[in-house]
Amino acid sequence: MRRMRFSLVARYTLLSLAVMAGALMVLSLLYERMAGDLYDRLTGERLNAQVTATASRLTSFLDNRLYQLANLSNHPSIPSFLDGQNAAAAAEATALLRLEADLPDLYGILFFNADGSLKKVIPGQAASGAPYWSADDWDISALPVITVDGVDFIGPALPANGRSGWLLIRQPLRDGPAEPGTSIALHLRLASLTELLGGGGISGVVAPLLRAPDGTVLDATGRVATGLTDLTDGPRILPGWSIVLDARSDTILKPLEQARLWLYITAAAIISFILLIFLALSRSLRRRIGTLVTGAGSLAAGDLGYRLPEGPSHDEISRVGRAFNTMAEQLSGLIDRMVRAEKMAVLGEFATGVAHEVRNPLATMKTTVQALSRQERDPDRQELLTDMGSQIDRLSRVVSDLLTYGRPSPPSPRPVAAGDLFRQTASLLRPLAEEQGITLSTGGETGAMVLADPDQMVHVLVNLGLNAVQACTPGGAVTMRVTAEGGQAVMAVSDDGCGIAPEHLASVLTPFFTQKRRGTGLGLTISQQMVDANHGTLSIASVPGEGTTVTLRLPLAESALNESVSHG
Amino acid sequence: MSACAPAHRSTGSRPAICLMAGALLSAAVSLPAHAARIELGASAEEADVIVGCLYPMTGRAGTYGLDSVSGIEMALKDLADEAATGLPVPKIRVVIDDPASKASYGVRIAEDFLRNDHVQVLCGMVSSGVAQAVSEVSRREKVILIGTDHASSRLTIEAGHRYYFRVTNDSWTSMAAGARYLRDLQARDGWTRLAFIGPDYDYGHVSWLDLQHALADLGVRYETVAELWPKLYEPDYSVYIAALQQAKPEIVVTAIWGGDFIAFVKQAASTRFFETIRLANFDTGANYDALVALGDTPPPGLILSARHHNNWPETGRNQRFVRIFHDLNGRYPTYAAEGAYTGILAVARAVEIAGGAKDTEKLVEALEGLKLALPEDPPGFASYIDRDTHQIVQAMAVGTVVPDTRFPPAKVMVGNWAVYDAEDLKPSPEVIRRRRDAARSGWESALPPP
Repeated sequence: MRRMRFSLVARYTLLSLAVMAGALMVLSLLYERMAGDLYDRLTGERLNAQVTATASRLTSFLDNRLYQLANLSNHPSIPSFLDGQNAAAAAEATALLRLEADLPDLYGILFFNADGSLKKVIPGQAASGAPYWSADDWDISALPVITVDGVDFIGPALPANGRSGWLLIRQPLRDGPAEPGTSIALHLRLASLTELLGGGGISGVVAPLLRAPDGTVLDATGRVATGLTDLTDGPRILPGWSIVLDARSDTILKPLEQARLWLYITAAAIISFILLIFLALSRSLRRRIGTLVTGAGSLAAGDLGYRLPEGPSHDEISRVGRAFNTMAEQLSGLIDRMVRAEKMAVLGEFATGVAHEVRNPLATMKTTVQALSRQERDPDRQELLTDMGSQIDRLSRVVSDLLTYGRPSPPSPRPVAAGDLFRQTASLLRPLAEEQGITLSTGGETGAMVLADPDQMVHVLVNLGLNAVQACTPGGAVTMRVTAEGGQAVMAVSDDGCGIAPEHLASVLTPFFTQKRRGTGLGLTISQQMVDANHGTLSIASVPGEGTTVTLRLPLAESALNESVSHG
Repeated sequence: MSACAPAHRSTGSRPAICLMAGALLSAAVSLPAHAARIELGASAEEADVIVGCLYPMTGRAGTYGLDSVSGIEMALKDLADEAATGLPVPKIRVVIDDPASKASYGVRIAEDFLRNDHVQVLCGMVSSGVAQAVSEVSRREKVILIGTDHASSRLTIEAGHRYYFRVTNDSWTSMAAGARYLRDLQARDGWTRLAFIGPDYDYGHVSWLDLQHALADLGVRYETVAELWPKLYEPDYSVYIAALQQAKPEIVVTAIWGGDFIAFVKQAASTRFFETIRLANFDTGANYDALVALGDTPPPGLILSARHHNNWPETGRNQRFVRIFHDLNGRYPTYAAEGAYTGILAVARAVEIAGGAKDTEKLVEALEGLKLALPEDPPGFASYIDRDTHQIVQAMAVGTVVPDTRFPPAKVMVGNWAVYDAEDLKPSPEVIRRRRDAARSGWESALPPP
């Protein structure tokens, strides 16, 4: 946890979470405010106007029916219709009543006796069931009655058993027939009144309903409303009849609350998901940075050969890893070169000093031995002197090598055909090779023009060829081949000799290292020195028991390269 | 037109109606300035029988009136073709007028037909409300009334009388077929919640009673979650659609018909109604004009039937009827055409059997049990008029909407038929007795005025 608290990734994670949580809180506050405003707008300012308009529609509908009822109750032909004494007036009244009953809002027109029993009925187009086609269940005695200005509002009779709800508006006839107290009533369709309450209520939030005198609350379809919770009194339509408002806050608030809940759940899920991603990312980052730190520690501890694993990715950490490896590579090379230069400087100075001190006495000794040899007649002594001369010659060569190593002559590079270099080398080596039963061959793109000092290159090739011949057994083969690759001449000297043991391979270029009984250990060192001086490289590959290949890479002369390409 | 007598159409004002309205009356209601009157077939002088028909020519039901007139013309032509072969076919004169879907107009037109045109047979009516009122005229005046389109079963059961006959499927027949379809559907999907919405007049209420009786007779168990009664020609069904959705039925059966049914389906389709509810209309839903209105993307789950289908049964007689109607009118018929066609054929056959139209009682006897081979009869069956109820007995086919462009401009027709035999769809004598007994109690005290 301590590491987490201070890690960069942990800090980024916490910062991101804080920003996200802050944004969520601001969003939530805005949401709450918007939802509140919305509810207030829907239930507030426009509500009164709409309720008033609704009440006006209902009142107007009833006014029209009252007007219709008044016209009928006052019509002079109606008494004749009831008592049948005046046929012409009765016919006129029949036609009138049929037309008046033919409204879609009316089931029919009813006449009542003074005792409230049904006297006659005029069915309208919407008439159905009792009291028109049967008298079953026709009883108005239990219905609430409200009397306003001499007009009885009887009902409502609620819809049930496949029958619609209805309402009676009843008024005594002005000029009654023989029986006093006869009254006329409009049999009103209850739903025609309640439909005027409006469809989905006011914005679907506040539903206007109709409260009847018996306390029944009716919905827009004329049925008893159910599931009412929060009723508010609205305008009165008639005594006992009023609009009530069912504030269905759930209609709008419930979806909003559900939306808010989902918002929070989604936000929590997103935060958790991001947290998980950050944790996984943090773990991965710490592991990869740990590798970098280990690499740097190894390098600091002197392990110049330590390299970071390079994956296929190309992200920032991989780039740092590759840069680290490049840095380690260059650092290792630099240190190698510095060590070798210092070593060579010391050895060169020492060798030059020794050579100067030894070369002159050796020359004197050689001259003396030659003089003694000419004067000596004894064959045994003659042989001894000759051996001595040979050993002096060998010492002279060693001294010469020491001088070459310690005070190398600067190269004079010029374009030279690889084939010419091979030819000169072969002419020098072939007698020795033939003597030892070794086959020497040259080949490849011998026209390739090498930009190098020819003498130094012949020196190097002879040196490498000698090593190869000496590594072979009779019947072996030494091959020299040249190819042109990417602006360089690649010259390989191969043999099928004994090879070099892996543990010695790294040391063969070290001065004075030799596995030959009479070698100086300077041949390959000098060769590499010369190749370096000619801007080339020398590398050795060897498999014990199969042979060795020494590869020289030297710059190609540009003109020679072009010529090589055209011939190829 | 008719080969036995020149048929002609005439239109003009109807003075009788205008005379009816006095000064005070005209202040209360507004009458149409002109009402169509059509005369077809033989002249009054040479006619063997005069038939007076009442059909709406305007408004939402106007299409059915026009198709009925075409059906009558086709019947007269078929009879003329028979006469041309030497068969003793009576000469029929048909006068048609528009009651504007109002009972009061219907009564007055029927009385005018009797008084001025001396008609011997009344026919027609799309609305059961109008038919109920005209049936009372028929009963009172002892004049035969042939119902060709309206369907309230009350007219043949509770309010049935000697002079009333009906030659199209009634609400009982349709609901008996529908109840069987619902029973079979319940066996498949297990529905239990049922709602009904019907127009608030006699036909709507009787249809619901018929369906309840039929379901009870079949032993179907269900819960009624809503009964709703919008008025006839209601322009806005939104409160009712919302109430139905709130009640959460699985099946809604409706008896809303014609333009009202089309309006209801369109308004319901604009909500999420059809996502959870199947709408069934067994009596009128498969009428051709409703199928045209469904377009090529009908709402899902519709279960429909009607009193005649253009694509069922696929008999030569039905195909000929549909083709000739199309040739005459340039459009395909609604079921009203076949009802009116049947009505005229029934009158002709009855007159043939009775030996004339002078004796109404003989005509009644001829109509009772009369057999008629009709376009909507499936192979092997001929419709007949039940002697007790005077209701024609016919088979029914119920189905669902399928793509079918054989009857343009309709893009869909009804298919996947479930066919129910005519005899199975008759109300049992027990049902008839029970309903008539119930209606008889207190009947006299509440009869409409003479």
